[in-house]
Amino acid sequence: MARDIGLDDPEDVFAEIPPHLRAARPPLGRGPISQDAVLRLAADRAAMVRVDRPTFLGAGFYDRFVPPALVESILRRTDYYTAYTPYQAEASQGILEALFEYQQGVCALTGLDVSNASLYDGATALAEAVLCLFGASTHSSGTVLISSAVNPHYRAVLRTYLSDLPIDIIEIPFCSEEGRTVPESFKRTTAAPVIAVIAQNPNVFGVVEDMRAISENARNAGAGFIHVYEPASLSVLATPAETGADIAVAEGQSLGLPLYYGGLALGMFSARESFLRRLPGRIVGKTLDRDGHDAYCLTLQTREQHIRREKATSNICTNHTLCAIYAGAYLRLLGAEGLQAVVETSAARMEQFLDGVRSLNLNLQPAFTAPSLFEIAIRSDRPLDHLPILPLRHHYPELSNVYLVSFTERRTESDVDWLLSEVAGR
Amino acid sequence: MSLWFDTARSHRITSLPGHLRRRAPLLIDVLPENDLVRHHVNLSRKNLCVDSSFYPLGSCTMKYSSKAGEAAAAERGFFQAHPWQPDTEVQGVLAVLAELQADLAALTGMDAVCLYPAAGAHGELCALKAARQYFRLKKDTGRLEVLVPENAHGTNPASASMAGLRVVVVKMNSAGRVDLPDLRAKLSNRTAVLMLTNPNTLGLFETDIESIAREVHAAGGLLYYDGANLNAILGRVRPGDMGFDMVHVNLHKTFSIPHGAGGPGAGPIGVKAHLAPCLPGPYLTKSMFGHVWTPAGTESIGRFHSAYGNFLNLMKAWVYLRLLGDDGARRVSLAAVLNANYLQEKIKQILPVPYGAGRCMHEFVASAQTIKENFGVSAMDIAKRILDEGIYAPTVYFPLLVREALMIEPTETERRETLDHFVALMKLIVEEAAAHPDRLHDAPVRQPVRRVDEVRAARHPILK
Repeated sequence: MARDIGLDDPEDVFAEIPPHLRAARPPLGRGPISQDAVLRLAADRAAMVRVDRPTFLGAGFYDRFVPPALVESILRRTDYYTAYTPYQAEASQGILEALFEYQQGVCALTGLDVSNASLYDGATALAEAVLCLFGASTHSSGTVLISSAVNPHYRAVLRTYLSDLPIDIIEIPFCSEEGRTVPESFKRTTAAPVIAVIAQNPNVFGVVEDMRAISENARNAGAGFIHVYEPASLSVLATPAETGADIAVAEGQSLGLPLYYGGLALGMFSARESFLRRLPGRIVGKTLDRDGHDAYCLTLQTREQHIRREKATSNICTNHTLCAIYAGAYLRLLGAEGLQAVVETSAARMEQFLDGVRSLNLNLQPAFTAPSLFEIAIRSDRPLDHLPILPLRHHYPELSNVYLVSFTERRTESDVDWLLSEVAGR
Repeated sequence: MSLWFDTARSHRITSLPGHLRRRAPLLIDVLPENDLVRHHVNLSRKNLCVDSSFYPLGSCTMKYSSKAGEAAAAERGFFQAHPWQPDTEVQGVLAVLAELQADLAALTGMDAVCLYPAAGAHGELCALKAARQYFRLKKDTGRLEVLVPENAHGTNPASASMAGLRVVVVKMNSAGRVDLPDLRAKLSNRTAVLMLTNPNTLGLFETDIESIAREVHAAGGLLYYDGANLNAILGRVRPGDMGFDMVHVNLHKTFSIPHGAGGPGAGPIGVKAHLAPCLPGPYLTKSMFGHVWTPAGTESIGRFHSAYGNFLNLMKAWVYLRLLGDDGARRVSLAAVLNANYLQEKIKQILPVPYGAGRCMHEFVASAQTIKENFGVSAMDIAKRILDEGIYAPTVYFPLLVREALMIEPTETERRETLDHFVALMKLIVEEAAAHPDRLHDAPVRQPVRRVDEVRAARHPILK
């Protein structure tokens, strides 16, 4: 092939790279490894991950049931996963229709008017929501009020995203008795306008917040309200539309996606219609083809970086399409009943645990008085760091002996019995 | 309906006060498992993808990805690893991450690598924020301008805006390279960063890169490498050796992660030592107990992801780099650039390649401008006609520097027969444009739908 284009030595094709710039020595310092050997190596690495006991870790990532039907027909479906962003609509109708169904599912869950076609993860979706409200506001600077019971990593990422912008973050402390945020504490306390009020439901402690009341206070402060939710919980908890949210964001991993160390995340973003032209990221629309048949395409692209460049609503290009298609399919597979079963079964396991704590007279107490869903903060009189539950002291120093115990529908009665016996030290 | 999982009843929900509970019915169009699987298998067939088709989408590096990555993804230890497990329980995950960090540092010539960014644009934002922090720590806070060449990827200026920086556009010269006098005129003590991809979006190597680096550094600025086009130089010349201070790499391009129909990708960044303390934390370090996450210092910009980045994809890139080794890395760039040059020479006989006088790197940009003028057939018409032959279309209308642009990137994983087939097809299409322009206006006719009305979609949005 080199000779076809007039080269004696194929390497001459790099003639334009100044020779003295070229790598002096092989950068990796190793040769190729066969597929068989690499897969053995991968198996060795994977064997160095502890998966021999049930996990009660949660806090944003959940060990939910991963339906094999979705792994096979979506995650491992090469016709999906080896395609690019659906720029050429006619040759990408399947991806586009599947994303459209995802958008439908998100709007059904949240009750809001519009959804984008996914962002990276829950934390960056929250940051994008604040940027969206800021961009839509008439203010050139302002503050954001965020409950300190919002996932600490989300708050940390938000701080990073806002650090170079004229937006200050004010954290609203949660009530140390109830474990929820007092709605009346979301009020304007400085001269600066309040751009956004942010609360999460259930919050990081699993405690159910009074989102309607928080939203009302946001309204009174002249702020937009961002409702951070857990998707399955919306089968039973007040929807962002019902709470009066302007934007709703979530981590979508809990819609049956495998854990992968938090590395198969999904940023869910939906909003009221008025924010349509300020939404970050891709949006799929339904339209017609030349023959008048239903067809789908990426739409409202004048918001986006490849058209609007520095004036774009976000820099998002690659998003998390495959995860979004999966999440949309998960909703259609389980339906409202299935989602409610996820919530109810998780709640039943939590009750079994709390009953056990009482009947076995274990030295554990719920840390907070308000009702919890999915996970519960438990105060212990001795360290339980050896168990698969999350110590909260790293993020909340005042909760030095408090652990977050998370329940999913995958935890069985015997899993909970095992945890109880471990806590009892037997 | 089959049981998905063991269910149990609880009063916890019904005992919640009404104002906390959902009132509206949750209306989801449920499908039984077999119908849902059929639905998605059939939807998935309504797409062209790398596993079915040649995919010469410029700037996107749609190479074939070894299935070894998918096989490794099935390992239970990866599949079920929870991000909040103690470090001692996830040593296998941390070893993969540490080894990938080391590999990416070696291949890019950088001192420190951060794996958190979930995509290229996410990496750009991360690096620009690190750059701002670097200047803030140096108390050099007047540097609020990001210089980008006029043919830069759209994410570059968009990322700059998100970092609260102003965009200054640098012209390209007639040879399709950064215009040095214009760059000089725009560099100042307000310059924070020049963002550059090399080879650039015309597929050309920036031969003046050393002068560019000197000028940027002399002005006190930083040089940023947009790694979208790293495939062309993998294992041959490293951004760090060209004078770049920071780089993002799109693992879903050069490092062979499947693109997932638009994501998830992964966009790690690498930086030289002087910027390392500004990277997001926590940091992966080695202790006597093995790999551990260590909190970042006060110089860090903070967290950048809910967890630790897109581990599944990072792991696939780790697999890929083990399959490659140094020989493989050099073979990747050689085949990518040879394929592109072979194709460029052939396409040049069919369509003008405005900046195609010399050698290209991994891609090149042809123009349908004369065809448009002569026959009223646009680059978009040609793209749609290509789809009908079961080949994905090149990138159209980018970069803006070339009118009626068709940006073609064959990648290294295509054999000569595939390229020859594409050339024959392009010849046929260009002949058709003259003889039967309507066939191009009417295309596609052999895809699941005819030409999609995108204007209607934007004017009357139906989004759910």
